[in-house]
Amino acid sequence: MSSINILLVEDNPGDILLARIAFEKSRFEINFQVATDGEEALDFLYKKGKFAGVETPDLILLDLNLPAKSGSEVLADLKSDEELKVIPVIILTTSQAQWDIIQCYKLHANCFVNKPFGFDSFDKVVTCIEDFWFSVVRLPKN
Amino acid sequence: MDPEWKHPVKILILEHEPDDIELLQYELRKGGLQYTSQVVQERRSFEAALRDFRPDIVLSDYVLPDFDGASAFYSTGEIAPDTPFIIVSGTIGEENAVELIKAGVTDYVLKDKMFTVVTKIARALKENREHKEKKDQEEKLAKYAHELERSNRELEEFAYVASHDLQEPLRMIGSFLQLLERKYQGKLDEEAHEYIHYAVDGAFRMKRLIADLLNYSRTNREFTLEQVDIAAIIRDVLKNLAASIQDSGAMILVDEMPQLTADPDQMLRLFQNLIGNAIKFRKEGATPVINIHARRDDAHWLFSVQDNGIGIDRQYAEKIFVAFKKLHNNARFEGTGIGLAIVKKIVERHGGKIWFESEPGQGTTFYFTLQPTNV
Repeated sequence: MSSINILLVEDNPGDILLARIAFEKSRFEINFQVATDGEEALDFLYKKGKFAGVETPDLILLDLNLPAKSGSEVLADLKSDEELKVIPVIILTTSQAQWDIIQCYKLHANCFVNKPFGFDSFDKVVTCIEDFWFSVVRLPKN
Repeated sequence: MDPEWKHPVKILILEHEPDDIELLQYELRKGGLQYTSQVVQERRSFEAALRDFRPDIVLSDYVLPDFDGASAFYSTGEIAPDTPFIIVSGTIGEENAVELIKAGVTDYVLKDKMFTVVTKIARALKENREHKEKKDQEEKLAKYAHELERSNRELEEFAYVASHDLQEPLRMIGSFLQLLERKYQGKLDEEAHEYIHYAVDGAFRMKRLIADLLNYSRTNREFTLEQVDIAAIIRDVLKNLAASIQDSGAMILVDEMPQLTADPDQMLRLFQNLIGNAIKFRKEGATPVINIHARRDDAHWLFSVQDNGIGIDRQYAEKIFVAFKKLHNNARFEGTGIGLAIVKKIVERHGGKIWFESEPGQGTTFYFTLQPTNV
C-alpha cells in the first residue's frame, strides 16, 4: 500500500495533536487529515467547497461528542451512503456507556475504541490500529 | 367545648323554618357555645356565605323549599372543602342519614333531639381539627421525603456528571505530561524528570479516583435484580483475581453458596472487593488463607469472608467504610480507598448489613447479610 489517507473527526485540539504525533511515528506513509466537526466531516467526504479535490479517506476515526452534528449522526449519514459506507469507521471516544457502544455498532461502526489515558497508551492504540487496518486487513481500493 | 378552640365558632345555618331557627339558637346558647352565626335559606346566599362568612361549621336542614341538604353538602365540598357539615332535620330517616354519612356528611341531629347539637358540634370541630393536623403532618412529611429524594438524585447526578467531565481535561494533562517526559528524555536534567514524574503519577492517581467515584455513584443509579448464583459469581471473581492469587499463592476455600435475587454486577463487585482486599492486606511471609462461608438464618443469608491477614485496629472500625479513607499509604498498599465504601453501599442497597471482626496481626472476618429474595 502506498500512501494511506486517514480522516480524523475530532474537535479537541489536544486529541488532534496526540493523534498527529502518534501517526507521525508510523511505519506507514500516512496522509493525516482532520475535520473538527460533523458538518465539516461530511463536506470533506462529499468533497464540497474547500474540500474539492481531496482524496477519499481509507479509514475514518470518529469522535462521538462533537459540536452541533454528533458523531453518531455523521456515522448514520455515511453508513447510509452507497459509496462512503465501504470506508471503515473507528469510533474513538471517552464514552464507556453501553448505550453508545450498542448504538454505534447498530449504525455499522467497524469498531469502538476508548480514548486511552496517557500518551503511551494512546501510542499503543494507534499502533494497534495501524497494524490491524493497514497490515492484517485488506481494504477496498479507492 | 374543645379547649383548643380560641375564637367564637362561626356557624352557617341553612334553615327556613323560623321556629326551628329559634330552637337551634336556643340550644346553642344553652350549651354555652361561644359563637356567631349567619342564617340563610337558599342556594345563592348559602354559597355566598361559604365564601364570605367562611364558617367553621355548617348546620343544614335536609329539606328546603328550593334547595336541599344533599346539594348544600355538595356545594360545601366545592367551595369550602374540609368544613364539617351537620344535617339538622326532623324528617330525615335513619337510612338517609347513614347514606349521607357514607358520602362524607359529618353528623346529623334530629330536631326532636336538638339538645345534642352542641355536643355534636364540639365533636365535629375536634375531629376536624385533628384530621387537619394529621393531614398537615402527612403533607409535610411527604414534602420532606420528596425533597430528600430530589436532593439525593441531584447529588448523584452531580457526582456522575462531574466525574465524567473531569476525566477529559485530566486525560489531556496526563497525556501531554507523558509526551513531555518521552520527547525530552535526555534533554532535561534529572530534577525536571522527577517533577514530571510526580505530575504524571498525580494525574494517573486522579484518574483512578474519578473512575472509582463514577463506580460508587453508579451503585445507586444502576440496579437490576435477577436470580444470581453466588457460586458462579465467585468463580468469575477468582478468574478476575487470577494474577494476584498466583502472585501471593493465596488459598481460597469456598463453602456451598446459595442462589438469591440480587444485582449480578454488584454481587461481583462485592465479592471481588472483599476477596481482593483479603489478598492485598496479607501478612508478609505468610500464605494468605481465605475462607468464604454462607449460612441461612430465618430472615436472611449470612456470608463471611475470613482472612489471616494484617487485621484491622478496632479504633478504625467506623473509618474503613468511608469513601477514599485509607489506613495505609500508597507505598505500602496501593489503592484509592473506595472498595469498602462500595461494598457497604451494595450490601445496604440489597437490604443487608455489613460488619467485621478482627484481631490485628491475626486476620479479619467480614460479615454481611443478604435477603434471599429482594423486591
